[in-house]
Amino acid sequence: MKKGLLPGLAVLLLWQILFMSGFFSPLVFPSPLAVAESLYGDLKTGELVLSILFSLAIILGSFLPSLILAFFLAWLAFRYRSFDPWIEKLSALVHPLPGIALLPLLILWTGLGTHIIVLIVIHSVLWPFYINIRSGFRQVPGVWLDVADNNRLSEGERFLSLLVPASFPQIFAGLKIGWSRAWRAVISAEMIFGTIGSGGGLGWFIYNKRIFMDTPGMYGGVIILMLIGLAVENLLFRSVERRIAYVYSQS
Amino acid sequence: MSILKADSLHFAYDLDKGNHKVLEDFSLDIESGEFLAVIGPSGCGKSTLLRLLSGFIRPGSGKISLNGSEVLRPERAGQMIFQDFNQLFPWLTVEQNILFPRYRSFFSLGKKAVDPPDRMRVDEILELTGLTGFRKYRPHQLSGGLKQRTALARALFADPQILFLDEPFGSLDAPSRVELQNLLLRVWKEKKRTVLFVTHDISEALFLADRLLVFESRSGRFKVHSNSLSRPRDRHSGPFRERKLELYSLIDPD
Repeated sequence: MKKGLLPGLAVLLLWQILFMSGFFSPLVFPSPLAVAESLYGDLKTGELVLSILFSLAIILGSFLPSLILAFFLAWLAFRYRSFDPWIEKLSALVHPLPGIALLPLLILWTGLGTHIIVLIVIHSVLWPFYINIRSGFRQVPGVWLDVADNNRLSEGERFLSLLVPASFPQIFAGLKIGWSRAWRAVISAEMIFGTIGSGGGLGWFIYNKRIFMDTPGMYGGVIILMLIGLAVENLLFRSVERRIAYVYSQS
Repeated sequence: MSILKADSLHFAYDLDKGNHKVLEDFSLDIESGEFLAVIGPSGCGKSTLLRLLSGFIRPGSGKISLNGSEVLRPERAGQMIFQDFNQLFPWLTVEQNILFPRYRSFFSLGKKAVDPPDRMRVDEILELTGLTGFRKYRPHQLSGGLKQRTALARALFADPQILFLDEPFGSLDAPSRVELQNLLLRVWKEKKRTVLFVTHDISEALFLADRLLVFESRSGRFKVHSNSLSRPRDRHSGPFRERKLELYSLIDPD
């Protein structure tokens, strides 16, 4: 974090200089101070915090069913090899589809509601989860499976005590990809859908600021998005990744 | 008393060019408590034989029985130790790896879950295999020799009647190999288990085993020789070298 401080200050300085040059209208390019003030105000009213919590809740609420489904599909493909090409084809077809493209269909099928955003996020994370877990299961060394056979592990034990811990590096890589995918999906779904939905996530927060032509507020929302991404990467992912690389280095 | 019995086994690999016969009408009786080494040139089917006898693969025809009951898949009573250093689980410590045969549930590997008698057994096995100081280490922190010791300890914790060893010391440097050979003999004497040991190293087989099953070339023909050298054996003694040369000429008649 300390190493990032100097470039951060440099960007702020450059921003301030650009602002003072008067080249852009303050309506499209506010000063850093104005953005900070607006952020402080939104924090004080609690609007910003609620928006962040709303988006985070949607992401976490989508992660759980996606993980369960991805694990189940990967286990099915691993345990019964004849399923594997079918699930592969399905994932190859559906995975590249942008979640937003499904929005009208999802509304047609399931009606309006916050669940639409959840479904779009599930779509955006399920396939990266599945692809990574599947490749993790496939890379489990044969000698580990032999040890499991030798000790007569049950199907459940083989899954929980061997397949999952053995493919933890790939599962974690999937979580990491899923996390960034989920943010993109949730923000765009909220922006498109937010006006009629009940919710107000961070996407809706930014969109709302545009409606009221609150330019510093829009900047503030984007900066908050970047800061959350940075914090999760630095505080959570990097340390876990280091630990994984350390423990699994031999295999 | 015979513990493991193979009765007229046939085995062939299906290849593109037709099938490649590995074993034809193979029969063998392994006595309880004996140390049998299987030697032969690479590609002769030693490892295949071991995987057949341990139940990892099934013969085309014929029957294998352990203590009178037919072997249809790997048994806990017959523990396999592999050549691969990577046979330990990297996410578990040495101690947890050893406990794995009985405490495999991912959630019950905490210390409290282990029964006191099993804890004592682990301590004893750690002591016997010289791993007491390494119980909290993870596999990536161990040398090859320590990894193979851990694999041996894990197999012992499963309380097997027979140990199947597939060139377990094949990838070790010479000093560790000798160390591990001595350790294996100690374990064998102390635990009185049956050992089936595959190797391509003739002097290793001669140093360790009571009987030697020698594959003569790749034809699948084999002969069982008894090893009359008295224990403890000296690799540099005259009789040892003489037997070694004899066996060499059997395997490679040219």
